[in-house]
Amino acid sequence: MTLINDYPNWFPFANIIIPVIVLILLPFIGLLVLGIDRKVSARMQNRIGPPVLQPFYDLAKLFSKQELYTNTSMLVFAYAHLGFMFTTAIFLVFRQDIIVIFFTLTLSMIFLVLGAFSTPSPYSYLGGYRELIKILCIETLFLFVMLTLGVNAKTFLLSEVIDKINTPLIIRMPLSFVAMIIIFLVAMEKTPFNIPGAHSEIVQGPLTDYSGRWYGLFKLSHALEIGILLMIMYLFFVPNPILGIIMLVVSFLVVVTIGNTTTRTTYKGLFKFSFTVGIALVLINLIAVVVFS
Amino acid sequence: MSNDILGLMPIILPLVGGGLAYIAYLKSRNAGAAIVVLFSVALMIAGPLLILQGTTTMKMDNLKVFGDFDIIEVLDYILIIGFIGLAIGIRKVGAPAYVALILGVAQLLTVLYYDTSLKGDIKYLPVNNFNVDPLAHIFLLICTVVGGFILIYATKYMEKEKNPSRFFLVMFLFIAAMNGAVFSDNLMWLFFFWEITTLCSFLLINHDNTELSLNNATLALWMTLLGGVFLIVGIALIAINYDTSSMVVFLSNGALQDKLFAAVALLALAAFTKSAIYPFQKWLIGAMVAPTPVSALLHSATMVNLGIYMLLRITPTWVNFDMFQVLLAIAGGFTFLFAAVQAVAQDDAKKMLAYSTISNLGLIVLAIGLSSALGYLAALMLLFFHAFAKAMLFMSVGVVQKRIHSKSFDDMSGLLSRMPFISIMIFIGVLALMALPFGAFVTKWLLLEGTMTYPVIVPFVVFGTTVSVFFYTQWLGRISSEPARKKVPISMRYAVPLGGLAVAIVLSSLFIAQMADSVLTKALPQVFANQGDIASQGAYSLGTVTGFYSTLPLFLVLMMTLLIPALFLRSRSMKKVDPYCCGKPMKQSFRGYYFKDILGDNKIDLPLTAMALVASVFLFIVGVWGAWT
Amino acid sequence: MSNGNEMKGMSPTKEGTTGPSPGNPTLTVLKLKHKGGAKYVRGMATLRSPWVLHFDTGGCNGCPIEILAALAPRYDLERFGIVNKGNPKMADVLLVTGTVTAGCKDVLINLYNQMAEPKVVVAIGSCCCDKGVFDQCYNVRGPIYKILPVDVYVPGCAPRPGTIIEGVKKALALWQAKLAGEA
Repeated sequence: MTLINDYPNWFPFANIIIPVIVLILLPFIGLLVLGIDRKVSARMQNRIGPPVLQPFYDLAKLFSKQELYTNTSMLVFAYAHLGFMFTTAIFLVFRQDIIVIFFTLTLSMIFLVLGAFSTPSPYSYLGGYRELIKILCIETLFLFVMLTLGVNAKTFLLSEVIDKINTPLIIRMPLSFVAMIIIFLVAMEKTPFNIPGAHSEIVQGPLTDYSGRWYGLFKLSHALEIGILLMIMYLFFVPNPILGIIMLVVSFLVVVTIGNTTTRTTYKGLFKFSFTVGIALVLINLIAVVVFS
Repeated sequence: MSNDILGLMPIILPLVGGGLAYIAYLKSRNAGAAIVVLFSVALMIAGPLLILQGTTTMKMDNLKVFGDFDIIEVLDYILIIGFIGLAIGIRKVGAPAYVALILGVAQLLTVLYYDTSLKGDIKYLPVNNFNVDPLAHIFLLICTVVGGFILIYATKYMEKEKNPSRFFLVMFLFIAAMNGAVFSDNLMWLFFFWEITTLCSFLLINHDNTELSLNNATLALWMTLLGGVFLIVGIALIAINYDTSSMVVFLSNGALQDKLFAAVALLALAAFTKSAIYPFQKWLIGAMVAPTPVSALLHSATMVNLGIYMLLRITPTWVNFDMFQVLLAIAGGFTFLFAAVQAVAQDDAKKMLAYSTISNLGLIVLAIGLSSALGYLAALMLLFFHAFAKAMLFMSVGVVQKRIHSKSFDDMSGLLSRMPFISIMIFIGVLALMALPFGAFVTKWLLLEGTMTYPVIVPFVVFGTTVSVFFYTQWLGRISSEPARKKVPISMRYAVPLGGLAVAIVLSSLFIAQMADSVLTKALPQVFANQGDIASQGAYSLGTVTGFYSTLPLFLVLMMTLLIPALFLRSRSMKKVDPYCCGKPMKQSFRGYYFKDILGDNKIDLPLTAMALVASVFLFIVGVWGAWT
Repeated sequence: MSNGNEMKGMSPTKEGTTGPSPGNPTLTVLKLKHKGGAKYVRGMATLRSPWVLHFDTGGCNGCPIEILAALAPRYDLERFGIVNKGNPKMADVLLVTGTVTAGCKDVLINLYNQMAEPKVVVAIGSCCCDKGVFDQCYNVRGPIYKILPVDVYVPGCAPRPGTIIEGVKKALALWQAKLAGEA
């Protein structure tokens, strides 16, 4: 059985304290993964690269800069984006309904897009549209994966889904796992699908007009999103401590390798890819789970 | 008799109000506006009062005129002959008018046949001609509350438009007809009120009497007359096969459990035409030339819900026929998905809202097609929230249109600073339709929970949801963008209805568990009454067999992260800088991505309508097959 | 130069032998005045993430090429956390090249105003420091010290990447001082 399922018996209030600890650790894990990603990419490119703790330094720097703004609605949307990402993490660690988790994540992304549109720079405007298209493609895949999870366990409550995982889901839902790797690749903003954050095309993309503390909030919620995705991949597909870490490391290396060996496509390319290959993967898996259950 | 009058108040009150408003507007606009506001408030009180009274029945079976003729026969003839006259009168439109003429004649012949041959053989007359049961309560609530608010809004909107007397007469007549239709147990009364709404729709779409509005009104006329033909032929078949003219008797007939009848398929198709399900969606798009209160009332909140009412009412007839349910669900799902896809390509705000309405109606039909307590409740919830939210959105677009004289999204930049109240209303309305923690999300959550038992609906729900996010978010982004403009004031007669609807949406979303328990569950038909699929757990939470959703935490998060920063964020300590445009000053404004080259109306309308037409024919054949085998 | 503040593994004056070397190079410049405490930690952490905006105001493009060479994998400035963000709102160090032409003067001031404090400006190349070869041309509005407050001048035509890095190092020392002045 999984590590997480046993903790109500460890010490009093364990079923509240441990989720809170995990919740606090999630952004740290996300930032660490982002730092390791930069280091590994640099080594792949035959250079040294920044230290692994670089994202922490970046955050510290961002929070000590002067605050600039162009209008107040962009600041409100920054708070809303982080708030709902945090809510997604809370629902995840406290094992709520996975469809509600999906919709909270989507709402957080919607606030990111609204933040992008509310600043008047043409780059953030283009970045906002690209982000919307990315949401359209990736959230569809993600929802299908969530549904396959629920149909497989015959329930959508996370606590019961975890209870019912007898064999690691990577065996029952291998194609969904591949789709999760694609989602992870897009979330890590790796080529070929990093169309919103296309630095050479549209500067910073959706976050062009954000600076200082507000940009730091977005970086923090990005790290949180990475942490959430890693936790989902661990919890469902390979919940074992040793094998799970190995699986995460392997997926991370796959994602980084793909990111370093490909170039960016257009938004049409992302659309075509996710609605042919991506949808094929998740639909075949969903149909297989429905038929064989 | 006095109880009957009380029960019929939601029908009588608008009729009286319409007449008085007509006379008052002929005198002066202020007098007319005062009468309209008075009767709207009275309506908003009368509706909930009747609901609080519980199930009400009204016999009304001894109204006879000209000696022996039942009043409903006479009214039917007057109406259909009126339609034929109308079709002849607008013959300059061309072919659509002649189609309407033919359909009117078909209706006349069917009613004649009914009255002469079938009526005498009916064994089971309705016990009560009018029956206000919990399902009717929901429609009554929507019609009176939303209708009342829209009428108050319309008094200000129509301030400078021409012909307000006729406008308000027809609007009040429409509300009376809508209430009458959901009250009716007698199928002929239902048919009568159904066709009155068709007539009102034509008159209101054609309010400006331009060539465009006449063409669009004629399109709406013949499509809904086609629905009327389906309806009256279905009623005739019910009289032949079941010897009854009462809905209640028809639904409780045991023979329905054994085989499906053509009548059911015909009634379903009639509902499709009224609710603008593909392939009958074109009229709703064309109806957007009407003044905005018409769009808000008829074509989003009430009239299109009449078809949904029909489907909700006859749900017990197909509980044993999986094939029909699947076809219904696919028809709804197809509409949900492809109306959303077509909405992406619209740059006109009212057309986008029209496609979004069709999309949501498709989702409701999908939920009905699931044929379970879960689906039925999901349909009721979405019906309720969609009516409120869409009316709010249409009204907001109307106010914006009055100010900036344009309905295009590209001209709505900077609306947040220029008209902050309207922008917030648009925010609440759009979030209510697309995002949690509001009501329309609960429907999508329930349907996704239902994928356990009905996997076939999954692609439609998933794709439709994510596509809807696209065009709604794009609009919200557009109105919260710059440039900042000077704030303009807003009239009370715009602010009060919009604010009232917003408060209603927020409160009912927060307390959706209690609403589901008290109001909505009572409207479930008997066949679903014992399926304990959904239960409220605590004051703010809904639980199904497979999932759990709690509104309070999400509302708290929304308040903390959106509302409180928006109200209390002070930017005094921050430095305001220019946006980044490579160092140059920002001058241009941007048009949106509408993907018209791949998703435009002229590209995909015809294939989609053709596909849906084939599917509807198939639906009909399945129904008729059930009758022959 | 071999004082204690040298970047390990890098010698800006030797030709052809510079390159990435393993180890753990750190960019410690001045020591901060306060030792210990949250402000010290923040100051040390912040110094490890200087983001750069490069803007060319009109020249022969030689200096930008050298700057890009400094950012490229061979010299690998990213190991010090230096990233070329093209966005002034996120940049700490403004690298200016070229004489300030008429078309670029307002743009340069606009970009400078969009940067958040604390910030430093580095003028790279002779054209930037004092008009260089374009001294008598008609649309030169420079030199840059008439328009912006410059912190470090890196002369040369074009300065080698190593020299540029040395200049950036000095700019970061000033940046750290500004941070410490506020921190």
